[in-house]
Amino acid sequence: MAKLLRQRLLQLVLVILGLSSLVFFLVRISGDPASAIAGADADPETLAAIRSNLGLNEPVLVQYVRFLGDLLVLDFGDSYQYRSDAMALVLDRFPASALLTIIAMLIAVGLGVPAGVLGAVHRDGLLGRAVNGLAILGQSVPNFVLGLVLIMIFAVSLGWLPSFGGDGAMSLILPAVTLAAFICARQMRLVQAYTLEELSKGYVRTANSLGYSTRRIRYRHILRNVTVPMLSLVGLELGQFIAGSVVIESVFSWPGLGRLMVESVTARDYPVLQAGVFVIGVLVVLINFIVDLLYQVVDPRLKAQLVTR
Amino acid sequence: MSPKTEVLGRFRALKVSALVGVVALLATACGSSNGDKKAEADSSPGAAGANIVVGVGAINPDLDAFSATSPPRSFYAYPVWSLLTRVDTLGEGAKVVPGVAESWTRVNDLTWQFVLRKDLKFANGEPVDAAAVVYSTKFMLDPKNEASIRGKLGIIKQVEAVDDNTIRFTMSAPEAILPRLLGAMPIVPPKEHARVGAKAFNVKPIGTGAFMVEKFVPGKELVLVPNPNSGQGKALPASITFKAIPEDAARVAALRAGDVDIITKVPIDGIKPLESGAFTLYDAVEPRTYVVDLFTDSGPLTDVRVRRAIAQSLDLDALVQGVMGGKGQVGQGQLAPSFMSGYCKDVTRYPYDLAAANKLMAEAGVSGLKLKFQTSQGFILNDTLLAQAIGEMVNKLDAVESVEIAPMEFSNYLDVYYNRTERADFFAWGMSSSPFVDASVQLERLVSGYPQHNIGYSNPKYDEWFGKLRSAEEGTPERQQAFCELSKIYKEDVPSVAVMTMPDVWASSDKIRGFKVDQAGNPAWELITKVTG
Repeated sequence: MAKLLRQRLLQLVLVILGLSSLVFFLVRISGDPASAIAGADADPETLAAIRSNLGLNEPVLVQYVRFLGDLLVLDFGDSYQYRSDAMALVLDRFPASALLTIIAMLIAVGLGVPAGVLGAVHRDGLLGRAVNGLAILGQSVPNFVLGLVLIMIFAVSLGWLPSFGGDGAMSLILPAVTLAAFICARQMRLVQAYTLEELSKGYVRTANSLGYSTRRIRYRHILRNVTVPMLSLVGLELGQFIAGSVVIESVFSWPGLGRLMVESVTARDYPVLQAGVFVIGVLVVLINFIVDLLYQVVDPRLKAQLVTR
Repeated sequence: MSPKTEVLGRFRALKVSALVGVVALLATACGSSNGDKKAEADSSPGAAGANIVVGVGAINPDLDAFSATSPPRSFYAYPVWSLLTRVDTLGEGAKVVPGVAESWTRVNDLTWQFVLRKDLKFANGEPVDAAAVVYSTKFMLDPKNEASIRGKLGIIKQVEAVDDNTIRFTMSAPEAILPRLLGAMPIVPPKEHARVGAKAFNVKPIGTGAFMVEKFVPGKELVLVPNPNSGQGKALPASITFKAIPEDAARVAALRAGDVDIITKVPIDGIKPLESGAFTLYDAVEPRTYVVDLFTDSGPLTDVRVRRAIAQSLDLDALVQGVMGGKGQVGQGQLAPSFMSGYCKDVTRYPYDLAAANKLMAEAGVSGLKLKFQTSQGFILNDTLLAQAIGEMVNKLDAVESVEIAPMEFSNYLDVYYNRTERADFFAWGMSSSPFVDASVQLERLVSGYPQHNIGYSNPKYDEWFGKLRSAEEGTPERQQAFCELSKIYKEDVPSVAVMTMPDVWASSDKIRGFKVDQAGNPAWELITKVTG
């Protein structure tokens, strides 16, 4: 366990250093933030003053060394747009994205996994076809279209839910369902495929011949084996969506991290981009670590491997 | 099918926003709109004193009026800040009216004197006096303070207080419309501004506008309430809440759901669902001319015949009808739209004539042209569609082999504007004269060596007439003559094609009264009321 922790810590440092350096140089190649800050009417002297105020007149390597020094104390500087602490801005937006993703993931896993198992078991029946159809529909309808359709039905026509915003539980329902629909469809497809593979394995035949109930075979043995690859998928998706469900956040005016990051790319707001990438990097490594721990819970073989390592 | 219909049909098919129609159909199938029941619940009884909720595309990170000359920045900032003068663009003509200053006189070509109102105080008790104007002007002129209005007002060389209520501005060159330009000059309470610093002040500014800031969450929400120290009379609403709803279709849906009372920037495809039902549409026009710059310093466009041929190949009526649903004003061969000071009746646009355009190209001896068109993407209404349609029209010329459309992200696009990265043959730009609503602001961009955006155009005759324009007083025949001469040269030389004046469509629930958008694109928030029942 201690070794795993050490490995993950080292991985975290390397990932953060690599990512931060990459973002540092990429954003500087993309162009000059002074024009994005000043807009179209500023005179050349004002543009020069903006560059000087932001320290952008210094050689890139000098800026990089200063950036690495600041990174050690987690100081990313002030946002060029908001003129306030970049990390505070990122952390202010982070909970909204995290909440949306976690609720969406709970809905998606809660519906997608049982539906996938049922779809596999009844693959030739009506239920199996329905699961297949829903999975294809969920993956092929772009989420901004689904979002707008849900707004028109539940906010405009029925008036049950607010059409936008991030105030209160009611405003969470539509964006969470929209985001969940896409994740759920993918979960259904994959669980169905993994379950079909498991169904053909010897241990299922053995269990059947020993007279175990169908329910026990499906949900105790097959589902447990399916859970290992599913954990990896859930881990990846968690990181990806917390980092930014940009489309959903735009359609529902959800005040999350994704929108902030896109605005920052457009405005060449280097400090916010660097702080955002840092938080996302830490998050992804952390989620991977948790997934590693969960592997051991669901698969005793992995626990044994780790102990003997 | 005519070529025109074919072209328009092709780019119409590209409209992703047609989805809005599908969505609207689905909604209709599910039942009728619930109108504004939620907005109704929010409103106070009676016509005035209501809480108005406005859905806008974006809320800026701050309310800095020193960098807020055009909407949407100006329509958040101007109702709060003190401005030295105001350009009254609600009525006919855009007249300069008193703001903090009640009168002004031109002492000589380079000197103006302003007398301030004596009855004004900032909300924190500081007087609105000559010292405040001197402080604010010096702050604006210092490049370190990053005030983008310095681009227009940098001509001020010196500012001095003659007495407590009189200010004298000395300029480095004549500028006959200084009082109009000072309509963008914010006056701040010096002690408070110096105490908290510009950064903090810009988040909760103190002014003498009709409103003051009650709550501001940068990028998300802004709540304005009436300012008891207003220098412009009492505002009628109890509050105005701006909410950021970046997606166009979602903004329309929010109005239909009754979650907001007013929305800005109604997308062209969102107009139809609002035409029926409990909504009012406002067909405003921005003082923003959509122009296609033709870079004249290198390549095939150096030949004026090629530029004229391009101007004649564009069917502007079809563009406005096809891409903008008929909203906006078709360009008239000059940069100023018909409502703006500086419009010249004698100048008309080149007629759409493909045969004449082909003849001009043949005379110029060009063929097999491969042209590139740089456009913004999502910055100007329907910008990519406009560029595609224009590209298709130019492509109909015999001498043109292809027109490549290059949509750009905003910051990259600005780099081209500032001549910092490689520019192509065409560059589309929304040229705004807000908040001044005077054609000189747009015409200045074609003066030789204009620093911000130099398209390579230079004509000494043009520069000479622009010099005369700067010296000629507002409303005089000399000034109108200078405007007309500049527009004639513009038409003759075709450094750009003025395609259209951009539409600015707003919508509200039918409970809203007194909503008006001025010619600078700023609503008069203080006049809005809402009825119940």
